[in-house]
Amino acid sequence: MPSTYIGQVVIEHLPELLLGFRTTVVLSLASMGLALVLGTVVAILRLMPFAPVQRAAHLFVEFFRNIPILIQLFFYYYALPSIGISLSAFACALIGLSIYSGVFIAEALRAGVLAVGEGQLNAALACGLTHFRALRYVILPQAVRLVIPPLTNLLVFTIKTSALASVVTVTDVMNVAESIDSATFRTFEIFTAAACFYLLLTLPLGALSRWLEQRLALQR
Amino acid sequence: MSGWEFLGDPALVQFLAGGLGITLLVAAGAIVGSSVIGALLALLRLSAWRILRLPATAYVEIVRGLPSFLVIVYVFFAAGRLDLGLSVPVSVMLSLSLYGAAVSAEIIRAGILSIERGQWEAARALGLRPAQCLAYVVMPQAARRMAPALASQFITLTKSTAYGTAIGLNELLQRGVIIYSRYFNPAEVLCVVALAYLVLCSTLSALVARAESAPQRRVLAAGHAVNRTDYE
Repeated sequence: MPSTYIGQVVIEHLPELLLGFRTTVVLSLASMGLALVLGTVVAILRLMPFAPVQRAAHLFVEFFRNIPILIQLFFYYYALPSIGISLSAFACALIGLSIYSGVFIAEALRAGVLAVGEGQLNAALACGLTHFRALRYVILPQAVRLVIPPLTNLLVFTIKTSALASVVTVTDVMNVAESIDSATFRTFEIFTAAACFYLLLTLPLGALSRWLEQRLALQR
Repeated sequence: MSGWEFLGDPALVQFLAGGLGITLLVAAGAIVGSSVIGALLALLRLSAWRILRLPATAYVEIVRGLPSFLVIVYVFFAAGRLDLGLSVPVSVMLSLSLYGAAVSAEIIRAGILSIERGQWEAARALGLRPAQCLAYVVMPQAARRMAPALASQFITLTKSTAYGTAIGLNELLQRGVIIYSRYFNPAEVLCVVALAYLVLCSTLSALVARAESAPQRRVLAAGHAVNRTDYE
């Protein structure tokens, strides 16, 4: 079936691409949600004034951060069944992305809290606030301003990383594009279309992150 | 456990070590390539002429918004379609250079912009040409500020070489897959492959962390830790 005009193949396969795009969005958002929970827990553990817990949380972060996500996905998808745990491709991708993004989020949150500085905490305590109130009313409002722009960037990061799920057969937009390409050989059109789908998400979020950074910086 | 027997076979261990060599080689190529192209893009973005600035800005913004995996697949299939005759390792090196350049360009640009105007003015007042100001006054100071962010970008590139497996790059992960497809022991082989990456990347990131905590850079490092989220 020869195409007559540039981009025809994209129009013809738009329904499949849109389905793939939906999977990409769902996978990224679900992973980001789980990653936020995991990241917060790990960040709190890393900030606990108790060395063994701190070290364990640090090891957890270093472990998952330094192994390429693709190897982690391969492990969940190909190795777990051999020891009796079979998960769907989507579940593997969800777990893999949540942990991988989660450890980066933990680092961003920890850096945000540390960047507020000890002086602020000491000053708040000296003013007579309890430890909890000092954290709640002095440290937290400042830390949130510091970490919101990085967290927006990490959502972009999660969306981009979700493309690797295609390798373990999740039918996201990348996977759909590859199968259309192998059936039609319209490489440029198909992959340019896939790229546009990613840019549709990442460009506005990148702009949002920059805007937030400027806005929140002014108020500080 | 019979699954670990492959570690007793020197030929298989050598096969995996060779894969690690290819990983390192492709990573080195991508690091050099992305730094050179990234520096060029950063200078174009700082140019006074809009005609140079706009295309560089568009390139950086667009490529940074794409998954590196998509760039790898796109370049590989597009090169095949155009009959460019790129080998797989060269294709991955090229993709990661093109992708990494967009990220590095931003780091380099931010580093140059972080140097106070007074430094430029003083250097100009001493009679240095603009290129000399950049090379002898601004860059040496900016390089120190960029180093932590660039280093973590290089670690990211090293990890990204594993994505080449999807287009048949014969590196560590791919060789692991070849071994476990024959001996049916994916859990054991993937553990070994993961361990190799873990040792490689955590050594590198420990070095970066140590450089960052040098006393004169402590304040800067705190700032970087918050801003350095462009991991991919």
